[in-house]
This record gives sequence, C-alpha cells and structure tokens, in this order.
Amino acid sequence: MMRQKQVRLYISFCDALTVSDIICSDVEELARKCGISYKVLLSIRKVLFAQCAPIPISGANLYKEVIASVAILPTGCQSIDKLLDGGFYTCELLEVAGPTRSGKTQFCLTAAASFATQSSQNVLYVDTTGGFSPQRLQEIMAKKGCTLQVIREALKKIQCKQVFDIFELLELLEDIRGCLEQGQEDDRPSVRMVIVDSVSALMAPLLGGNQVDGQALLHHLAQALKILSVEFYTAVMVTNNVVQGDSAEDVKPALGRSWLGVPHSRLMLRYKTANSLPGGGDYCGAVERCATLVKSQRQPTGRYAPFVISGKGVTDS
Amino acid sequence: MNSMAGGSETGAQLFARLGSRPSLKALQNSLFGEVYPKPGDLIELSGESGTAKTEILMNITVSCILPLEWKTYKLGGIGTGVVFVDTQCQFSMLRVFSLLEKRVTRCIASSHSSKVHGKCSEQDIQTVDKIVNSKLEDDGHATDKVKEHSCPPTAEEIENFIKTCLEKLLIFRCNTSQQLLVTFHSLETLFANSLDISVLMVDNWSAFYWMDRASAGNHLSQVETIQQRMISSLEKLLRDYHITAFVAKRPLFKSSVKRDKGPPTSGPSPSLSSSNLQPDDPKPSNQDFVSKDWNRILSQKFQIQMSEQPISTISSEVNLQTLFVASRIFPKPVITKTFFVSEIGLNFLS
Repeated sequence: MMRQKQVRLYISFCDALTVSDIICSDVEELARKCGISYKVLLSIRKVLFAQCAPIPISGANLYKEVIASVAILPTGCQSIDKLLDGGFYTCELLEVAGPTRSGKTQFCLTAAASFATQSSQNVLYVDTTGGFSPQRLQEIMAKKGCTLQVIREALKKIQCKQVFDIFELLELLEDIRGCLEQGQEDDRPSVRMVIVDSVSALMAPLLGGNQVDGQALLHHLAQALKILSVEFYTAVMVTNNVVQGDSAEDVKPALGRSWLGVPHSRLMLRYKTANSLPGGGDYCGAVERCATLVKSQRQPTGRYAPFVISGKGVTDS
Repeated sequence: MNSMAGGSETGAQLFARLGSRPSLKALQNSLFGEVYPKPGDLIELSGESGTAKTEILMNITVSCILPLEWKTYKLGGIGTGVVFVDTQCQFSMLRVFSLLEKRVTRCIASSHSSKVHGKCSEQDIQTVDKIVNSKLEDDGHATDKVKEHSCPPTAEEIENFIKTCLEKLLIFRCNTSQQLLVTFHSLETLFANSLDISVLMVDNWSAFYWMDRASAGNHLSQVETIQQRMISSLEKLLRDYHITAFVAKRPLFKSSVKRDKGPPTSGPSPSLSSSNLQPDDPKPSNQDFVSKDWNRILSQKFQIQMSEQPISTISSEVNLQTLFVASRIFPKPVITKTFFVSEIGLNFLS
C-alpha cells in the first residue's frame, strides 16, 4: 500500500527524483511544489529512512556475534602465526604483499593446505596468474605427515577457480555472498577461507590512464572482499605485488594509495638479503625470507618473522 | 526541519538542544591537551593509510563509553553514548573489547597495588584512594566495602561490565555515499531522542569519493553536490544537537611537491581542489578533496604521519614500535604530539 503510494508520488515530483534529493530537500517547500501534504511527505521520509539507512548494531550485540563467529585459522607457519596473533582471523582481510618470488603463492598454498587438513570447511582458491598447483599442495601435505586418505579428503575441500578478469571475480564473490546469505540449508560445508592470488594481476591493467573507472572498480572489489570477511566471518587473503617508492629501499604495495587502506592487516614478504639469492630459480631452496607486519588492527606493527620455503611449504627457519 | 520556522521544532528536539550532553573534558589527557572537544565541534583526523586513524577513533570511543567509575575503581571515562559510522568495515570489535578490558584491569591492578604497598606512584591514584576512603567512611558498611575492594572482581564480572559499556556504542555500516547521507539524516531522530549520546565518529569520510566520481561521469559538479549535502547534514547534527564529531579522512591525491616521479595523478578540477590550510608550510599537506564548507565548520584538524625519526634513539623500550606524529595544524599554533600504539592503546611520549 505504502509502496504504491510512493511510486505514484515519485512520478509527480518535479525536481526530486533520487532518494537523496527527497531527503535533503526542505519538506515544506517540496509540499508546496508537488501539492502533496506535509504529513504524507514526512511519512515518505520515514519510509525512505527505514529502507535506505543501514541498521545500527549495538556494540554489545556485535561483541556477542564476534565472539560466536570469529575463528582463528592457522597459516601453517608458526612464526607467522605468532606475528598475526594466532593466524588468520575470520573477520579480517589480510593482504600478503611482496616482490616476485618472495613466496606469496607458496604462503597461500601452505595456508590452504593446513586449513584443509585441519578443518571440515571449504577453501576457495581464486587463481588469477596460473600459479595454483595441486601437485605442490599434495607435496606440502605429504611432507607434513598426512596420510593418503587425509590428503585425498583435504584436496576435495580446496576449490580452485581460475579467473582472468575483474568482472568475473566480482561475479564470483557475489555468488559466494549469495550462498552464505542463504545459510547452511544444504549439508555442503560452506566456504570459510577465500584466497585471491593475485589481486594485482587483475587490477593492474585497469589502473592508470582513465583513473576514475579503475579506482571505482578497485573500490567495488574492496567492498566485496570486505563484506565477505566482516559480515560473513570468512577469512579472506589476497596477494599483491609491490612497486618502487620514492627512494631505492622504499617498497610499497601496488595498486595505489586508495588500496593501501583497504586490507585490515598487511604482511610484507621479502628476501632477507638481496645478494643471498643465487641466480637459479630454486624456489624450494632454503633461502631465508622474512615477513613483516606493516598494518594491523590488533598487533603492533613493524615486527617481523623469518621463514623459509621448504618441501613442507612455508615454515620456520 | 527546525531551520525554517521557530514553531516547527518538536518538544524532544528542543529538549535535546537545551539539555546538556556529557562533557568530553576527560579527553584532555590524550591527543587534545587543554583544547578538549566541545559540543558542536568537528575534529578532523587526516593521514595516510596505516597511520592509526582508526586506532585513535577507537581509543576515543573507549574513553567515551567507559563510565567515570565502576564499583570503587576510578576508570576516568565519560560514560556517554557513541555513534560510530563505519564506511570501510574498519571497526574492529576485538580491538575495542581488548582496549576496554586492558583499561579496566589496569585500573583495578593499580588501585590494588597502591593499596597493598601503601605507596602511590601516580598522583591520581592517590586522589582515587582519598575519594574511596572518604566514601567508605561516609558509608555505614565500611568493612563490607573494604572487603569488596580488597578482592578484585572476577574476570566474568569484568566481562559483564564491559558488555554493559558496549551497550552505549552504536555502529552503522555504510556501503555507498547515499547510505551515508541517509544515515546522517536519520541520526537526527536518534540524537533528538537520546540525550546521552554526544559523540559521532565517521571512519572514513572520503571512502566513496571514487565511486561517486565514476557514477557522476563527466558531471563533476554532482560529486561536489553530494559532498555539500553530507556536510550540511553533518553541520545540522553538530549545530542543532550539540554533537561532537570526529571524522577520519584519507588524502586522495599525492602531494604536489612529491609529484616529480611517475605519472601525474588526474587531479581534481580547480574548483574541487584542496584549499590548503597552511599555504606557507614548507611541507604541504597531501591533497585532499575538500569543499569550502568543510573548512567553515571545521574546529580542529590533526594531521597524522609516521615518524621519520630513528626509533632507537628515543627509548630502548619502544624500539619495536612504529612512532606516529600527530600535529594539530588548525587552529594555530601548531601542536605536535608523538605517540606509539601498544596493547593498552595510545601512548604519548612527552
């Protein structure tokens, strides 16, 4: 009833067409202009508030929800777990940034492997670079001492999706959101961890040139990822490249300044010393690497943890 | 609504305007010093990502929602309600809870240790004890109270107490600038009805800028219209309901001085560009999207940066910490404070 009335009124408005137009305009003036009574206009405003304003959550209720829903998932590497105060929090968006071959994909694979072997829920691995390797996953699990049966079960829980453009990714995230919104009606275990490796591969072509469109898409992606993590309590991890900053030793995450503030936590990976790396591509070699926590909401920043990449994936050095 | 005619104000609105909301004087010790935020003030916190803006807002939130005292412990809070408008899902309940917990347990521990050892390291603990003692003497049940004071509350009691504090906090999550605008308008009713809310936080104001730019297409003036509408609705909240607002902003463009490298960012059109508050400053602030009206209603502006000072020279205790420098660049004179973030919140170095 109210809706029908509203629709009719929308048509009769001369200037006011959008919700914000109606809300911001002076009610009395609007009443005069459209010939609608002041009282009706006030109730329209009320309906618009109810429909468009977000529902406030009281701190106490949010606390209850957080305590009931947040889980801490291990990354598979103890020193990095310690750095992150236990591991991935399922209410946060974590970014792992680092130059090529700093171990980003290995970190993702290790995290996926350790989550899948320990939990009954699913991992979604969004692969944008072709770096996903089931053989490597199997190797990590086997080296960690899992039996063949466990490995088989765990690999079933890791869904890999190859995505090569941003719209595909946005659609995929929307789908997951829809599934999570419907709840656990079906018995299939829900997705609890989403890994996007790497987000810069998708976004980099869109930035530069016409800045506005790229920035808007970046914002949409950020929002989709954050809603998954904050409202549906999923652990979301993305990897990002780095770019050269103003000085030689100043390295910063790619994708520009508006992305900088998006992740809740950020780990920067790097080789411990640049010249310790031989020319060969021996990524399983025990080159010492280092993860620095550069952004966090709960932990002091600036601390670091050394790690190596071995047959077991990313492990303590 | 009440701007058009004197008679159109409801009784609740009048009461909200004339009635007093809790004062924020207790925020003196932190960032603000003697110029603590007053009703109707707009305080801007501006800084790059990772400069503890959200952390500052959460710390102020904690100071606001904690009461002045609980049982016999002086917590030094304000006991007022807070509305937290979160535009980028940055609010962390876990962090706020641990801040509250740390602050309460520290107060309890310090009041107990001073009791047991009979010496006071800090002056305010002394005064707390004086207050406590005088209260005890006034009360007939002095012995009972002493007993209560001598055995600290259990963890469960503390948790329940913190939950009651959290009732005072309201969180709004906004996903578009239109939602943010509607939120500001709908807050009028909330502020008119509840007198014990005196603080509004917005983290962060510039979140939707690029989305608005994209949807505006070539009509750049639309972006400014949206900004002006948001500013005027915020101004109304400040002026009519005597709310104090803390707004975090992130500079959207790179500062013009450092633009010698890399491609130039597509700057805003001249009408939208930042009117720098300090044209004579040798290190100009980062470019921001500021409309004129914003500077008109601004009361204080803080700029937060990561410290470039080598950390080890300051103190060996804080060698693992990142130091931040918060400077109040408006109004003059410039006041600079250095702080670092630890488990218990912000720590200011004197």
